[in-house]
Formats: sequence, structure tokens, C-alpha cells
Amino acid sequence: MHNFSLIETRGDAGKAVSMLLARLLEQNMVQAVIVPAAVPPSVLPMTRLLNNPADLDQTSPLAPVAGVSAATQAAKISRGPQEIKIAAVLRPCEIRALVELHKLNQAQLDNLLVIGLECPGRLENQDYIDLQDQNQDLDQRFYRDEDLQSRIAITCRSCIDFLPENAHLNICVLGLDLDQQAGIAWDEGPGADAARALELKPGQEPGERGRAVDSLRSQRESAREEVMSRSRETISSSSGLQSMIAHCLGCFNCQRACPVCFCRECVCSREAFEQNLEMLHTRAGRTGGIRLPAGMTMFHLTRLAHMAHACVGCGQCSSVCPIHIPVADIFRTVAAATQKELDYKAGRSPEEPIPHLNFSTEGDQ
Amino acid sequence: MNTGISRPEEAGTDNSRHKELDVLALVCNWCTYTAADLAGVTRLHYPAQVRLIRFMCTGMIDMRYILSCFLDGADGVFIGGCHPGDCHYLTGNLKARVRIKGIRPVLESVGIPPQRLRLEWIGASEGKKLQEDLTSFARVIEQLGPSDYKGMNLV
Repeated sequence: MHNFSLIETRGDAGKAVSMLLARLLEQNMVQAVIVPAAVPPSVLPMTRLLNNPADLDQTSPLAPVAGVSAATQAAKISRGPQEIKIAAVLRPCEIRALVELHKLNQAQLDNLLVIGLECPGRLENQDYIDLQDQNQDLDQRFYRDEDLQSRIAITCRSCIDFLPENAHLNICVLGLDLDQQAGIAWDEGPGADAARALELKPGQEPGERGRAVDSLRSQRESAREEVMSRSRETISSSSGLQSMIAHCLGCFNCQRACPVCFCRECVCSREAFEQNLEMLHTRAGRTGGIRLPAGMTMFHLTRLAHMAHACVGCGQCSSVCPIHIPVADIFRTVAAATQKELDYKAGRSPEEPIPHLNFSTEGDQ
Repeated sequence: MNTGISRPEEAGTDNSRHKELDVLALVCNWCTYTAADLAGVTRLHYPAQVRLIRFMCTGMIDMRYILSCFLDGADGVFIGGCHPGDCHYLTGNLKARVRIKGIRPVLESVGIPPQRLRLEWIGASEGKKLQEDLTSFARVIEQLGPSDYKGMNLV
């Protein structure tokens, strides 16, 4: 991002960003906004669609939580009438998922003004609800309290893609004192138009930002290497893989929470693949009984085979697992190998074709 | 009765060592399966642990079928399709190729060496090539031994 501007926060960065969003509506740059907001009595911010500038003061754009991945909702509403422009406040992983969904014809990017949030990580939903009870100003405090930051979701702790890519405007929080100032960054195009409407004046980017980003990245990279090498080691044998997924309940939560798993009906829940008594009977005789529901190894490997190229590393699959299987660790490990082999990175660019949809008669087997 | 057809054992293939190994060959109806017919008519033998499964096109071989083979105890999976440009349905074989490229790292990550999966283009007239490819693949599988997933009681 070439242009950078600081905005005054006066002790509440979330409110300052909300006011910018309200101004986008007032200026008619967009006709609707989707942004995290809790609807009382809930304290958990979830994606909310708003179109009245006066309502924006109830939103929490910087809340360190993502109830579900907002990419699914953003993709759904982006397919609507193209004359309604929508500003969407999204985390980096949600933008990557949105880009993947766009390539799968599940999302339109033309009518979206994507506002990316620099993401130090998200708290698990239950942790957020519990911490909200103890801290009224949790959203603001999270950004200065290292103790709170250390409680982020397990997948986020080893995420190295915490800077938003492919957004029109970025909300910058790293290396800034959010009690005083937050940053907005933008490039030419729709981002610059929005910045003009918001009367943002390009200024100097504080030097601490670069240092904060580098230090977070190096910390995350070593965490990632540790997680990846551990799960690489474990899943590399049939017994290791079994030990990781042995407790799978077959709830399919991981598949439903996955923002890039877009099929309306998963092949794994199709009748054609259901294991009938006859098949189970044969197998049970061979293996000394069979656990029901059966076919969980097949389910996880199918999801890996079908979706590893598109994994954006959001960690929602691990977050929703009722039995705490580190689904995201397995997925990210296999995804890293798959995406390297296919010379592809999920969510890197809307123009990069999905390898599975790119046929050429060139090359050999 | 002497039919004049020599059984595989007599043809010099040592099948005793292959006994517990299973190789599944998922083959296209229009090319490799026809090549297998030709091989049969020409009395060419391929290793006895190979079982052919006919598909209408390699493009219909979902990654799930390949996984299913391995999880149900196959030691090797061979896929035979039409040469690029010859697909009866235009691009089915190219779809198969990119899927196989994509599934290899997944298999490797979970302890199934990529050599256990092979894709070959075998035209309808290449009965000889079918024999050679299946034989060399069976030899590779024999060297690798039984798969890590063979006989596992998987959840």
C-alpha cells in the first residue's frame, strides 16, 4: 500500500473506524456495510449488515474475534444486485477465502469495497465471551495487553499471513498506540476514491510499524515451523494419522465452518458414498469390528484432497471441533505441500487460476 | 486340454511373491481398456496381482476413488488414460492429470509414497505398452512392499 494516513482515536479505535464507515455511507460511496457487531443480549460480534450511518456506533470493527468466517457471508451478499455497493470489513484470512470463492464463481468482487484489518489474531468465541465479562473495553484493551494477545486461537499463534492482501483499504493497528492513533492505508483505484471521500491526507508511515511487523512475523514463523514439523511427523504414518483423528465424532463441523468448502452438498454426505450394511458387514469381518459412524479417515482425506489447494489457514475447522482435533494443523501442513507442488497460493491473487481448472495439453504425466 | 494359452506362472512371472500385494488399475474405456483387450487377443500377460477397473474416462476418477483404493488396502494404484488431445470427451485425461498432481502431496503427507500412484497414457493400439507399464509398476510396488494402510482398522 502506497498511501498511509493516521486517524485520531481518542481512546476508542473501534469507534474511530466505525465513524469512517459511517462517513462512507453518508458520502454514498457504498450503500451498505458488513462489519462485526454484537446484537444484544449477545456480546459476541458477528457479521452484521448495516445501511444507516446512525447505526454504525453499535459496531465493533476491531473486535479480536470472528464468530464464523465472514468470507462466506460476504460472498453470499456480493452475488446480489450489483448496483448496491458494499463495504466489507474482513480479516486477512477472510479476504483470502473471499478471493478463492470468487475464483469458484461464488463471489463477485466488483461491488465490494474490501476493507482489510491487520490481524494480530482472534480469540476463540468462548474465550471472547468470558473475557468480555471481565473487561468492558476488551476490544480496545486487546491491542495493548500482551497477556490477552497470548490467548488468541491456536491456529492464529502460528499464522504468518496477518497482513491483509487484495484489500482496497487497510486498517493498520500494528506498531501503533491505538489509544492515540490508528492507520489507514490504500492504493490507487477504489481505495483512493474512498480515501478522498473520507478526506484522508496521505502522511508519513511511522517507522515503528515496520519493526512491529517484522518482529511479529519472525515470532510467528518459528511457531509455524514448530507446529508444521510436529504435525508432518505425526501424520506421516497411518497409525500417527489415526491417533490424531481417532476421536472424530463425524459431526462435519469442520466442513461446514470451512469458508472455502463451498459445495452445497458435500460429496461426503452424498447417499452414493454412504456405507451400507453389506459393505460394513464385509469390512467388520476383516478388521475385527467397525466403529460407527464409519469412514472418518476417508472424510478427512477427501477434504484434504479436494480442498488443500484452497486452504487459507483461518483455523475455523479447529475452532469448531467439539473434540479438539487439530484439524487446521493437519490441513495447513498438507496444504503447504500441495500448494508448493501446484505452485499456487490460496487467496494470493484473484487473477491466479485455480490449478484444477487449468487444463493444458502441454507436459507429461 | 491344452488350449495353447500359457498361464502367467508358466510365462515366467513369479506370482508367489505378489500374492499379498494388490494393484488396482483404473483405466479408461476408450484407450487403456481397449489396449487391454488387444493385449489379451495378442496373448500378452500382465502381472496377476493387477486388477483392472474400467471407467468411461479418467476424467471421472475423483480423488475419492484413489483414496478409497488405498484406504481399502491397495498397495498401488495405476491409472491409464488417453494421450493428451485424444480424449473421447476432449479434456477428461487432462483433468485426471491435474487431480493426480494435486493428490500426490496429500498421499505423501499421510505416508503413502507417491510412487504407489502412477498415471500413464496408453492408446488403444498400445497393448504392448500396457503390458510393459503394468509389469514395471507391479515391480515398483513389489519393491515398496505392502502399504502402510493395508489391513488397518481405520476410524
